[in-house]
Amino acid sequence: MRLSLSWLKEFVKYKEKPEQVAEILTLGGFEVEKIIRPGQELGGVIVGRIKTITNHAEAERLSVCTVSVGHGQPLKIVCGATNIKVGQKVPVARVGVTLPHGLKIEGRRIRGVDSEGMICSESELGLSDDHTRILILDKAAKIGQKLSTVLGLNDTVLDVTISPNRADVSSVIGLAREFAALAGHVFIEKKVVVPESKKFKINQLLSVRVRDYNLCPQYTARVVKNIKLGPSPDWMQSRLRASGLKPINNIVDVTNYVMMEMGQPLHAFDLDKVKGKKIVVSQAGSTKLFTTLDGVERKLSSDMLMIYDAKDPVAIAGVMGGQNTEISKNTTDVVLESAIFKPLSIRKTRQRLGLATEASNRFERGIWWNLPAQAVDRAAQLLARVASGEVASGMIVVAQEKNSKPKMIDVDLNKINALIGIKFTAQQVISYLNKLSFKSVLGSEKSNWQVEVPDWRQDISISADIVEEVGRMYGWNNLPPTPIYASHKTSSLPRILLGQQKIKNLLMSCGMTESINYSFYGQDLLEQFGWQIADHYRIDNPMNKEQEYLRISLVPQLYVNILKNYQSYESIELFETGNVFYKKKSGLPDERTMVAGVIYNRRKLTGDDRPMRRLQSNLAAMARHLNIEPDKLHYAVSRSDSHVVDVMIGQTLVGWYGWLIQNEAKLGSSPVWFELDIAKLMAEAEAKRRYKQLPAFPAVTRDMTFRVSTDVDYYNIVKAIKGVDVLINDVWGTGLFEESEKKRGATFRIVYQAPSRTLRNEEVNVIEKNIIELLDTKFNAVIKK
Amino acid sequence: MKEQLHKIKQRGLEDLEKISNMKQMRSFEVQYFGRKGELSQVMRRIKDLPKNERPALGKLANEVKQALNIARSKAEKSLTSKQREVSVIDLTWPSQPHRLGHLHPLTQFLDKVMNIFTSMGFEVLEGQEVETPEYNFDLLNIPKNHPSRDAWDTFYVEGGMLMRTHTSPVQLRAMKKKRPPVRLIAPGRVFRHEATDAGHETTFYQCEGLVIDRSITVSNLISTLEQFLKEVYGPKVKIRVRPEYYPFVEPGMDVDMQCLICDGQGCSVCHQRGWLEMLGSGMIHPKVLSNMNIDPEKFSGFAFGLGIDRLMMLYHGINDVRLSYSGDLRFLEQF
Ligand SMILES: [Zn+2]
Repeated sequence: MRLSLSWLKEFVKYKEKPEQVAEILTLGGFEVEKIIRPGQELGGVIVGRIKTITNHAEAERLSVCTVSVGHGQPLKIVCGATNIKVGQKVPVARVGVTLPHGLKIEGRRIRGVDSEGMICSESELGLSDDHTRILILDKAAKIGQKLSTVLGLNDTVLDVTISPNRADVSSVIGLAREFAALAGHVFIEKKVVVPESKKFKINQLLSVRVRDYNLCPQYTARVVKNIKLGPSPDWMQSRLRASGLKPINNIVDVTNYVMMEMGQPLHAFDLDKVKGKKIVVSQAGSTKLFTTLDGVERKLSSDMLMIYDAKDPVAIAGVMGGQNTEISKNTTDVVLESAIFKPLSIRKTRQRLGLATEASNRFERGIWWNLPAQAVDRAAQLLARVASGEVASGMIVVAQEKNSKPKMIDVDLNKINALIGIKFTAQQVISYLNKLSFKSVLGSEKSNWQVEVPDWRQDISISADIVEEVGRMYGWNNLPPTPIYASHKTSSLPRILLGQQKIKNLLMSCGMTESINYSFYGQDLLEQFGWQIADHYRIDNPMNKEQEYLRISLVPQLYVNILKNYQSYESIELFETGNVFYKKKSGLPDERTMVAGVIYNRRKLTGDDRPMRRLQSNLAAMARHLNIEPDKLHYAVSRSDSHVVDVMIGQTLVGWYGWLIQNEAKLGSSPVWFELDIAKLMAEAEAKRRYKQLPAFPAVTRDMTFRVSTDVDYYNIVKAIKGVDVLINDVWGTGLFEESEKKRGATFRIVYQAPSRTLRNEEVNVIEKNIIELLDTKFNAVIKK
Repeated sequence: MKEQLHKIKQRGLEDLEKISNMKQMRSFEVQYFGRKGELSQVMRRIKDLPKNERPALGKLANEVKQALNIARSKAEKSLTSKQREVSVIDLTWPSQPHRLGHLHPLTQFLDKVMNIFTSMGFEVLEGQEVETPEYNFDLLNIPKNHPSRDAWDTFYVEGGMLMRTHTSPVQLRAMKKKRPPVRLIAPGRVFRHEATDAGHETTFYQCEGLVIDRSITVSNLISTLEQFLKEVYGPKVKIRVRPEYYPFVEPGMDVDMQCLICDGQGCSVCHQRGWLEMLGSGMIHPKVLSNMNIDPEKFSGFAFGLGIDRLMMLYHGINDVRLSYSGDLRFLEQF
């Protein structure tokens, strides 16, 4: 909401500078986003008078004007607008002037004619969106005068953020009341006196019927006759401009003025066009289409609340009026509508129509009971004053209940103090609340009493709300910070988070860099990976096609990361930890926290430099770091997909690794990927290691090399060797080399150890013989000497 | 004998200067320090001297031995460095560093945040990223079709679910099992359905906190959050608190920090305001306490929410929130 400070001054006499007003409001709960000085921005724009207009010789749509600006020679200006006439006063920006949007005026040659400035439209001046027509100024404007003075823009405007619970401060009066209370000033209450004309009685001019009180609890109307339609006075126009509203004519301007001043949206119908002189508030029912003021035909749904006359719809209640009863040149008599519409219904309607207006915003926040009558009186008063209207005597008020009871809230001083953290006296609290127009009703007890909530404060409903009022009046920043003195329990990080931290640090040490990607990807990407849409959760309202499905793997986006970087990096090693979403039949998704990584090198590397080997080294390091028994980590070739290898811890499948074969030609080589389920890993991780007695006798270490066939599983060989004798303490592969297409040479290191003696060579020889026999029978492996 | 010792010393020092390789050095050692070396022979004879002469000579013998030994080790060092051909360029030339990767700045910052809060006795909790409207909104006093819901633009997931817009559901779910006193933080990924630009992302990280006990006050809230901000941004941090509306707290407030770049004078980082909005907070709404099965008459508490991305960006001077999710190595490698 844009608050004009000159308008504010009408209700609060204050001496503070705009910056101070802004700070008081901000610290009181009404954050001032910006201090705007529209006059300053238009500082260089002055009033000029068009002396001559001639057609541009070379461009049909352009004309060349001479414009006098007071002193010096008249300026020659090329202009493209069609609404200019000789003798008009217009805003002129000379060469060197900068306009609000940052456009700097320069002397230019336009199609062979030198232009010495610009005649400005409202949009160029930052006053509205209208960029086709030049702003034509009042005849009374003085040539050479500053435009900001003519338009009354020497005002300062605060851009205030209004929270959705405070309907009352979407108005000058609402903010003025708050500012007065916070700054310790007096709020000046203005009495509205309506000059009613005895000639006309409203009941003879109009009748109102409300069909559904649930959607429209109150409908209030006045009729003003014999209005002289025309522009509204300068002071009203400049205030509307300062508030960000465009002046239109005195009737519409008055309704907008009252909305800004009091917070009540009003609508003016042309009484002549209201058929049957009857207003009916009702749901749309079978009405399907309706053309609003802006000329757009709107599709209605049956539960939208509408205003009808005796025959046709005339407005979408609380959102926008209709073209059929719009104020026009011939309007003399108007119906002023000032009503309460239910927020929920307005909200649904404007959402479905995609049509949020100043009016709908205010109805959505909620109008309090006494406002409609006050506002319609104010509008009638202004129409009489600025448009010579004659106000018909009487007001129509249609409502189910006549009055609303004031809300009472219990105040407990001790509870206020206990929640804020310092000791207020009852007097202090009463005085704070009093300044905010809450009336205290004291009883016999000193620390407990009741307050009556002012009717405009619909946001107040429980005693915690009173705490907030006391706190912000005292000033939260005056409160001494106090550390918490209370018992607390010790705790450690959740296991998955702990695992995640360890894994991240480990992979970082292994040379991998962490990436963070969206939780969504698109159909294109998931299909590149051969996956089914049916296995994914769909987002009902995705930002775009690339973010339509919830990921079931972290790998695709890591792959996209490679594509993003591969041209500048020969080697890329990335990982990510994050949640994936496995589909379940019902309930929330099966969310798993995964760790995934990709390793890529543009060059085709061989042997242990291969990305696959690096990846395995990283997995082994990860297992070590998580205290997983080193022997337990092994790999198994997946039967279904030759590009995927199972990563096992003991008997548990914890994840996979594999190759990304898409785009190999472009990338030069296939990146490898892995993805592991952190919860499964952590289930295998031991919290602590058990100490094993240091061996008292030396071990014997020997290597054996076998010729094996390529389809033998490493892990099975190791398991078999270990099973040969209890004296075999450890076995691992140390080298693998190519013998022929179907055969590999595989070297194993075997550690023999006895707990209570030194092993003799003969003993080890016997075990070796057994190993050779077993591998021969089991795997057809032949020892190499 | 005294004279003899002085002679040995002098000769020894002279001999050392002539040594040009390790072989000569070893024979020098044998000649002087060996079991049958000159010094040993003299020292052995000291015990045959009259008792009153022994200490003085013993002392001298040791001094000679020490002097020769120090000279010897110096000579040996210069000998070996000559042999290694050590040059300045060689000594100052760096080796190839270990290939370390990089942790994402969000991870690093989040770890920092968690460490600070755990040191203050907070427990860390995690939860699901897909939630129900009940836990994301209804139980937090954000009713359906209420304008206050507009503050949370939401991604909806098929089947009536949604991407959580904050981590509050984690706390709500945790409070089904816990009783006060509690101090919790819930860090994690959250989602907002809004157009992205330098200041807005659809995905970001949040860390929400919750403290419930008997007689928790607004003063406690301010103190806790001030401590936190000082721990992150340094002891000079100045904060201010202003009322703000959040449906799940009452009173609700925002905590601003004085802009560290301009000291409150106004600059482009703080949009000329001199203050930066750091976090939202407030005293937990009695309805929300009741939804957690906690009696608001007996207990009170505060809650807060930190936007990790914004705080991290301020910490490192990053000006575009989208960089975090770009997977651009030129960005990631800076941290
Ligand atoms: Zn600044």
